[in-house]
This record gives sequence, C-alpha cells and structure tokens, in this order.
Amino acid sequence: MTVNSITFFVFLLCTVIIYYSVKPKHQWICLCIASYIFYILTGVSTLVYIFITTITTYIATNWMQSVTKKRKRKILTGLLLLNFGVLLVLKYYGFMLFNINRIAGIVNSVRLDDSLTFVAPLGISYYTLQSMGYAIDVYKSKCKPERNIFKVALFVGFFPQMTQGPIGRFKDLASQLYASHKFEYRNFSFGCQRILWGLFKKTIIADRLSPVVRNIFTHYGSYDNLTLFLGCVYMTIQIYADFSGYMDIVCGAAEIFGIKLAENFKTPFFSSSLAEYWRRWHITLSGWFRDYLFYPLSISKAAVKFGKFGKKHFSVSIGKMFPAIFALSIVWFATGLWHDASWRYILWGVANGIIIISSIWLEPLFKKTKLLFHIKDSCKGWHRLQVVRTFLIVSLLKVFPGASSTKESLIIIKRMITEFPVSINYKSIFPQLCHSELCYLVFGIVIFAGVSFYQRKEPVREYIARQVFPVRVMVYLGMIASILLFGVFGTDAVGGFEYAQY
Amino acid sequence: MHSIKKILLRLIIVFLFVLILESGLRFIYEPNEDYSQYRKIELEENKGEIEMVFCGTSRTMKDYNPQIFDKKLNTNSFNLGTGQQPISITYYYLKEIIEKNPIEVVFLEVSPTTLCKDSDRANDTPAKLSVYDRLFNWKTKIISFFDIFPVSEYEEAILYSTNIESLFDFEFIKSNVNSKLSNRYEDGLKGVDTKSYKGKGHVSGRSVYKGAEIGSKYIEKKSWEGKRIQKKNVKFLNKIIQMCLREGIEINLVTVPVNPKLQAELSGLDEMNNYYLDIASHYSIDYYNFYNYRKKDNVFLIEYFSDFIHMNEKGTEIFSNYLIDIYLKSKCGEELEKFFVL
Repeated sequence: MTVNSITFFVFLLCTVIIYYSVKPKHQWICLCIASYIFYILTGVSTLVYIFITTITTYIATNWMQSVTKKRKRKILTGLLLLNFGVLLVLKYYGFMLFNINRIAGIVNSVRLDDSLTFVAPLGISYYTLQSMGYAIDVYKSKCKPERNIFKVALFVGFFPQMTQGPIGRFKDLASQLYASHKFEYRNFSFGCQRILWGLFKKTIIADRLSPVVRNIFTHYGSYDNLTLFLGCVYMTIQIYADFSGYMDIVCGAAEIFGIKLAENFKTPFFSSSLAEYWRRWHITLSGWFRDYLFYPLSISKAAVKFGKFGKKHFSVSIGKMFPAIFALSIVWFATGLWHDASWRYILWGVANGIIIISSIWLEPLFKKTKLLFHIKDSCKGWHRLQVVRTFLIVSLLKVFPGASSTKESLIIIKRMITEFPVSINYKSIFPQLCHSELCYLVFGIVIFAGVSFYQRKEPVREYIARQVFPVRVMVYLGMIASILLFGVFGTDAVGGFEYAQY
Repeated sequence: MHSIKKILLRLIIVFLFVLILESGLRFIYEPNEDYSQYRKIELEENKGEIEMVFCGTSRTMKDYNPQIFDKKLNTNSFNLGTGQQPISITYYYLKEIIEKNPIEVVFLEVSPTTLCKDSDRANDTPAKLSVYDRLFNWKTKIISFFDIFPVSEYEEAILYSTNIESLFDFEFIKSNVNSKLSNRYEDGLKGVDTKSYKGKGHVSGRSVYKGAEIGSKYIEKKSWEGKRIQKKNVKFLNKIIQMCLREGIEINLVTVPVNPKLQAELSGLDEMNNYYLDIASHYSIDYYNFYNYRKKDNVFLIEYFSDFIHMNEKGTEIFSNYLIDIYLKSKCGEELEKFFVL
C-alpha cells in the first residue's frame, strides 16, 4: 500500500474517523494499531525487524536511566551495534559478500557462499535512524525515556512516516503523537490540501518524467551528451517532485491528526552552494548525520589528532579545517552508503563530499577572487548564477544514482564528455515523451515553480485561505481535475516512490 | 459539529465535481463508433433469448461466428469474447448473462495462456476494463471488482479520466461528440465498423497472415508451462464449470486452432492437453482441443489466419462449421477420440 494509492486514502479516512471517535486518551492507541496494520499490509514477514528495533530501543533507553555513565555507554554501544548490525546484514550483506568474493577472486582464495539473500523490510533505513537518534538523545539526557513500550512502538512506526521519513526527533514528535487532539477543521482542510499538492507533484511531474529518465539511463549508449545531460537534469526534477510529493502527502496525512511532522525540504533548488543545498534537501537525514555523526566525529580523538597533523604540516588556519574535513569525509561516505548498498552510491556520496570539502578549502581563494572582480554577495545576478551552478552540480551528480551500475555511470560520464550532438531535435531533448505528455509536464512544472517562488514569500496555502470561498473551491477543484487529467496512473506510477528503496 | 458540516459540504462538492467530470469525459472521449459499445446494446436487445454463448479472449471473439451456429443448430447464440479477457472476468460476465438468459450451451475457450495469465500483474488494465465496463449489474460490478483488479489498478479501474491517452485530439473529440449527439445507436449498425463487426459479438477480418517471423518471447508466452499456472485462474475455471453444471447448462472446453507456424514452435502442448482433459473428465464434460485435431494439417491452413493466433473470415467459417459438425456427432454418441488425439 503506497501513500498515493486509493487504498491508502481509504485506510487514512477510516483511521481519522476512528481516531476522532475514540476517547482522547486512547487516540495514540488508535494510531499505534493503525500504524502496525499499515505495516502488516506491506508484508507480515518483515514485522519481526521493526519489533526488534522497538523492543531493544525500549529496553536500552529505560535501562540507561538506572546505571552509571560508563555502563550507559556500553548499553548504547550494544544497542547501536545490534540495530545497525541488523541494518547492515539486511541491506548490505549481499554487497559486502560480493566485494569480499571479488577480492578473494583476485587473490585466488576460497569464495564465500553467496546463495543466502536477505530482503530488507520497508523503511528500515528510516526507522532505524529515528529510533537510534532517540536512544542517543536519552543517553545524552536530551530527553527522558518513554516508559510505555507501545508508545515507543508508535514513535518508531508512526504509519505516514515509517516508510520514507521524515526522520523525526523524539522531543518534537513524541509529545504530539501521545497527546490528545481535538478535531479541527483547519487541520483537516490544510492536511487535505497538502495531500493534493503532493499528488499533483507525484502524478504530473515525477511519474511523467520517470519513464523518460529510465529510458535515457537504460539506453545511454544510443544518446549523445546533450540527452545524457538532460537525463541528469530530468532526474533531479523527478526525484524532487517524487520525494517532496511524498513528504507533502505524509505531512498532510499527519496534519489531519493534528501532528506536525518535521519538514524535509526548503526550496532546495534555490540554494547557492552544494552545502546549502544539503541543508535544504532531505533536511531530517542531513540533520541526523550532522547531529549524530558529524559533530561527534569532529570532536573525536582521531579528528583532533588529524587537526594537529594539519596545523603541523600546513598552517594553523588550514589545520583548523582538518577535523571538519575528517568528519565530512566519513559523513558523506555514510550518506552514500545509506542510500544504497552499491559503489555508485558511495561514489555519489564521496563526490558530494569532495565538492563540499573543496569549497571549504578554497573559500579564502573565492573571497579573494570576488574582491578582485568587485563581486558583492548581495548582487542578485551573482546569486542567480550561483543558484544555477548549484543546480547543475546537483544534476550532474545524478549520473551515479541514475545509472544501474558504477561501470555504466563512468561510461555515461565519458559519453557526456566525448559524444557531441550531431543534430538537436525533439527526440534528443524529450525522448519517450509525446507532445501532449510534454504539455502536461510543462503545465505541472510551471505551477510547481510558481508555487516554489511564492513559497519563499509566504506559504501558498495561507494565501489561498485568504481568498473567498468560490475562488478556493475553484483552486482545489482545478487541482483535482489536473491530477486526474494530466497525472500518470497505472502500473509504474502507483508502484511506489523512488526514496522507498533506500 | 460546525466543522463536520463544513467538511461534509466540501466533500459533497468534490464528489459531485468528480462525478460530473467523469461523466463529461466519458461522453467526450469514450469512443462511440466502436463495436464494443454496440455489442452491449445488442446483448440488452437479445436479453432473455440467448441460448448459446462463446466465452474467451479475442480468439473466441474472432473465431466463432454466431450466425453460422444459429443457422445450423437452430439456436440463438452470442459471442462474449473480448481482447485478453482474464478468466476471472469471464466468470462474472457469464454469470450475468446466465441470470438474464435461458443459456443452454457454453463454449469456453481454454488455451496455454488461460491459466497462466497473471491477472494481479497490472499490465492489462484496459483489457479488463473493456469487459468490466460491460457488466450490467452494479452488485456484480462491486463484488467482482476486488477479484478482477489488483490494488495497483484501482485508480484506473474507478476513474475513467485516468485512462484517457490523448486529451488534445480535437478531431476525434469533434467526431465522437457529433456521433453521440446524432443517436447513431438507435440506427442499428450504422455507427459501427460493419466491415469487421459481424454482429452478435463477432469480429472478423479478411486479412491473411503474411508470414511474419515469430519472436522467441512470443513463443514462450504462448507456450504451456505448468509452473506458470495461477491458482486464482484455476479457481475461476472451476467456478465457471461448477456454475454451469449447477444451472443445468452444458459446458464445453475448447482450445481453438492456432496458426500452424506458431503451433510448430509451441512447447508443453501435450501437458496442456492432459491438464484440461483431467478437468473435463473430472466434471464429465467435453474438451475440444483443436491443437490436437486429427485433420488440422489439412483443414486449418496458414491462409485461414490473419496473424499467429486469430483466424480470418474464411478461417472462422471453416472452424465454426467443423466445430458444429463435431459437436453434433459427439451428441449423437461418437467418441471425441475419433476427432482429436487425446
């Protein structure tokens, strides 16, 4: 059951009716039951893993309360090892074995049996990070442990967010989940609006672009550099529409229950640097890596030693950057690996890391250059140029996730450099897209871009809410009609979201 | 309470809007000059009089000529075949027809793909919809919905607007709307392509197979492979037979002829024959397997096919006559073994 299917909306409607019909103090129980019914509907066999995470998190967080600091650390280490171990085995076992066997093949030693395979349950990458974040917060005394295991279960598996996030923080989310909520028209109305907007992005833009992107990356050998480059750009737009569309649907669904989920996007395509882009894209994941990996790593003993090394061999100012560079390298490697167990994703993560580290490293040089050419940061033209540059960098990096293997990514890069277009025609710009489909897509993108621009000024729905009733009705009915008429429905479309695979 | 009222009002507006939009789009885009529409009206006109039906896919639709059956068997027959019709829909479609007509004989198509078709795989939604839309009874429509469509097809099955391929084909819109406003249905076959539509659900053409090469994937798809059998399809095959027997209707399983060039390439045909024979003997019904027809090499020649699996007008005439002949002889006590390799 994907969140853009009719079954999900029927499920949501039933849950909403029950949620507001039961006694307020029982509302969280209703959400908990609904969440696990939702999870069961995606596959009963994988239920055991979410139970392991819930139970171990519950035991560890409560145990940590009554022990010494040293023991607390041991408990947390054990919990992290167990849960990330499960994630590692389920998601990365095949990848690790493949690489071990390749190395073994080179040195001509015995191969490990690779017949055993695991199927990673839906959302494991998300709920593992969320629950481990909670455990670390308890360890750091940032929040108190929850005494009720079913409440922990709800926090780990709240149904709108369990499959693709956003990765919530206990202190922000838990109190909302456990609190009683009165039915409010505004919540219902805004929730529905946001769901509609998510569906608009998903069905009209993401699913329309999906076959185009798939075609370009599958048949890369028959396309020149222009089409391959456009493939990367299309993929950037497709992934954004897909993932942010999903976020809008889940945030809208949660809003109906009176629960505000953390925002995952803040108009990322308006970023002027890659680092800023990552602060505005998949914010909850970046935030998790920042708080639970980057900060601890940058003050770790190894980072300090690395910093001393930098100060000694380079200069004091450069040496100061070394701990951050050390932490960033690991964070970006982990980010790549988190997305998928493959070298192309690791390469993608590393490439992001290299660009960000380089920009930190070269910052003084950039400043000097700007001074030389009298370029002010407040200059709008310069800012726009930076925005375009960042978008192009983000798009070009999509060559790694877009291709189906590392080798193919490298071939595509090579083709992008060497294969110049012989002729530019409609098919080389929009392969797999007929004229009418292009019209629907352009319509969707224009509305999307317009909303994104306006969103920087104020939330569009606040603006719409100020309009008179007939105008509001026209807007929403227009949106429904657009989704039905211009959206893609069917096999591939309702199959799911891109980020669900991570 | 005030909030609930507000929400209800808005939900009603949305519901009415979607309803009007869907109806409007159906009126504008649903093809009028299409025999599938006309067939529904024909069925309604023949309500209470149909005695014999042919059920199955496009092969049934093209291979059985009801007019020949009517003439030779002095009956009133109707062809219920539609393109890629899954057996689950055949069950509900037939059930409705039986409820409305004094059906005495059913010819049910069984082929290597009948039981192997994965109806849960969302790849033949239009094929399913073309039959589903023909169901008359809302009760049957609702009950059958969940059996016919997998979750991933719900949107397309419920909302017509999600199936429109080209919104901007203004020439089509103009002619379609004009055609609908002119009440062509009432003028009988006027609005239908009479070259290929022969009436009573039968569609046939004069084109002859020109010897195109057969792809290996196609051969694989059209071959019989036991492990590809879907439990759900077997369940519906049994349900169809049981329903007919319960209603006192004679049911015959028929594997219609296939282009000899394709048959030579197909595999697992003996297993298929045994499989359907077992079912037929279990229910004590007849199985006419024209893949194993003793005279097939002399009767069903390549020129009687329009492609790999469908017969042309001439082939249909020959097949219908041969089937009637064998059917009558078997009713007179002749063993089917005389005609088919069992």
